[in-house]
Amino acid sequence: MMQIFIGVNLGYQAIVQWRDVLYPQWWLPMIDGFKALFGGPGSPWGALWALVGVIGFLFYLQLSRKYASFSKIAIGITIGIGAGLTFKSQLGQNIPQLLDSFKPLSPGIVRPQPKTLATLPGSQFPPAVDGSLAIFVSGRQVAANETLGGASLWRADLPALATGPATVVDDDVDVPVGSGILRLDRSTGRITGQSSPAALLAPLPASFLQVADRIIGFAAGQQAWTRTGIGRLIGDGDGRVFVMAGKKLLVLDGADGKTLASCSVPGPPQGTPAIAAYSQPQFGSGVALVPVDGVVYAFAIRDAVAEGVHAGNLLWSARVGEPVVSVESFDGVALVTTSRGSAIWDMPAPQAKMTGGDYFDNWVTVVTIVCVMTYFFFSFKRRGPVTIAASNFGRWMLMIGFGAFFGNTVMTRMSFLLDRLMFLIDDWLRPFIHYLFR
Amino acid sequence: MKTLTFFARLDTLPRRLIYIVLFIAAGIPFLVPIRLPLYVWKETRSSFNVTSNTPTHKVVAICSNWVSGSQGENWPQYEAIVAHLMLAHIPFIVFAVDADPMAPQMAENVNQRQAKRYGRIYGRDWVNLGLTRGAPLTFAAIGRNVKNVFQTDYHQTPTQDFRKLPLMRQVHDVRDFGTFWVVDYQPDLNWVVFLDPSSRVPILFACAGIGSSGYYPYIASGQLKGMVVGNRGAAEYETLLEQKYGSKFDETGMRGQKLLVPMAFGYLTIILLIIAGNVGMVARRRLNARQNGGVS
Repeated sequence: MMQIFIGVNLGYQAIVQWRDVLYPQWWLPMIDGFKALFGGPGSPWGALWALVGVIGFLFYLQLSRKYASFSKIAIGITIGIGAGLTFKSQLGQNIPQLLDSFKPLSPGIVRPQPKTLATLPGSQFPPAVDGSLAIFVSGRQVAANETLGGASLWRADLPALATGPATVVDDDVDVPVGSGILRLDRSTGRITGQSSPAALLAPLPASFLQVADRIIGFAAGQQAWTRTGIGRLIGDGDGRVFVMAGKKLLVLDGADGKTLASCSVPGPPQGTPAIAAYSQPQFGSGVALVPVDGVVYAFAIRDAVAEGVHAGNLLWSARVGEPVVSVESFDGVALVTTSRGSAIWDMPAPQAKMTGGDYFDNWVTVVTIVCVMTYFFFSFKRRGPVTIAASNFGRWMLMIGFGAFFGNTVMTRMSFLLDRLMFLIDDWLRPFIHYLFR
Repeated sequence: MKTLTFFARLDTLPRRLIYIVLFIAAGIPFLVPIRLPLYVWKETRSSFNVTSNTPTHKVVAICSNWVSGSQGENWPQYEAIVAHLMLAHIPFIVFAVDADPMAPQMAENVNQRQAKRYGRIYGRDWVNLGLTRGAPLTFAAIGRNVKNVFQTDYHQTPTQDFRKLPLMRQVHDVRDFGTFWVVDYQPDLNWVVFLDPSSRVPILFACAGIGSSGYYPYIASGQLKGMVVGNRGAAEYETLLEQKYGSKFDETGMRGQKLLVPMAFGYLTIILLIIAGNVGMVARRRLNARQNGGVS
């Protein structure tokens, strides 16, 4: 009976291997490649998949005494690929572990940092972002780049120095040059004409205004709220109002003027802060990006944006190195612009604040590693009360660790037993008894 | 002396008796319904929250590698996750990598059962992409282009056939994954490294209790965003579903909480037997010492 089961299993495995893996991923692309070589549609490169078959066949030459050495080629390739992948795998798994282990020693050093996804041209003015396109204006040059990928789409030279930021209007890009406005084609950057400044620069009605020491919020053209004597209005974005009060940046709710967060900043922000547009909805509208003196600070502006984090807490900061022209955020990234260059940052997710328990856990890890290593160093004689105590402590920690593994093993085995028990009672015994006594 | 002799017998309890006691203790809760209060651990709650917060325009991807060998723990976990996704109207794709060929079928049985319960439709609300091999390079390939790796689904429908599989219209690469689950006896940590080089997709593991200790450091470092550990984790996940969805959540056939009470009884029996064994050992030593005139 066992032989039958093993045979059926192997047969089934062979069929699935061919049907789901080899046929669609190797055979079909290879055949399509050969067809293309002989005038058929598609790319002929698929024919190279035949080489995989050849390399695979070399393995079987181990069976021949005469040609066994050829099998080493296939074995060498396999081991080489395996070694390369292992390097990547070990580094990718362990470097974050290493950084995490240093948290109790210096939480500041391992604070999360944004990753630069792409570098973009610099701009004297805040860039115009329109969907996947970002337009940067610097001196006499306008550059359009893909927002997330950073690829350059076009560049255009202006007849004179630009005097303001670019604006995207439908299929055109308007750039203020001297006293006029130059119109460029959005797709190619070709100069197509001039626009009327008056028509284009008609200001939108303000949603928030500062009059003397009063900050007024408007909704549907009507005054909605007023705050008096709280500070200087420096801008707004995503329904939030930013007010500078001494060394504090206040973030107000644009709907009712209530203070959401009070953030300690080292100086007045350069440009308007931005609300981080995280792709994870749980962080949405919860973080403000504030550029100050060439550093971008990320502050929580609502409680519990991450566990243990309160409004006003600093989540992370990143050095840019030069004065920031503007910070914008969209599609889960931040666009940080300086006059020399811009960058698209992948913003780190707000992390839970470290608690006493986290510090304790990490110290236990570090101390356990040292003590267990002391226990396992047999190449020197353990002398002195400290070394002996460390070694004994290491042995105890090992026992506790093995105990945890053993406990988990018992749990798993128990689950498997109960799964079978559940089957026996629910699917077999109950219907059987029901049948007997119906 | 009599008392000591009685306790010393505990040291040599017959094996068969231990098995029978364990069998009865674990079997009682199947016949007599008993409920126990359950504390939801941080890693389970985090998994639940991350899954609940999947953006509406993204899908959840699940690598379901479990088969009958580990169904005691992975089945309740997978059942709870699928129930959650279907209740929350979150579309998902499921596949198996380097698993037993039965893995896609085990997953599909659960998908079909839950879909019937919550009125979900194959192709629109979920797609089973079947099995592939070649980890860990395949992990990276899935991250780059899902449809290139899985050219047909489990039922041999081309993944480019958007009429039959409209969900696949919105699935291209890892950027379309809102959350990534690995349900396996011992999930492969290479998913953390190879799937998404930018580490933006939250990765969650549902694993057997036996290997769970090794994954906790990865939760602390943020490489994993949560974990459902064994049957206990599945029961906790079901509790969270109950709390969030109330009567909308249909408990029929859910296995986590049902298995949890027998497990608790089983553990209790094991703990009592361990104590009994130790008491027996001490009593036996003392008895031997007395009988040998102070030499044990």
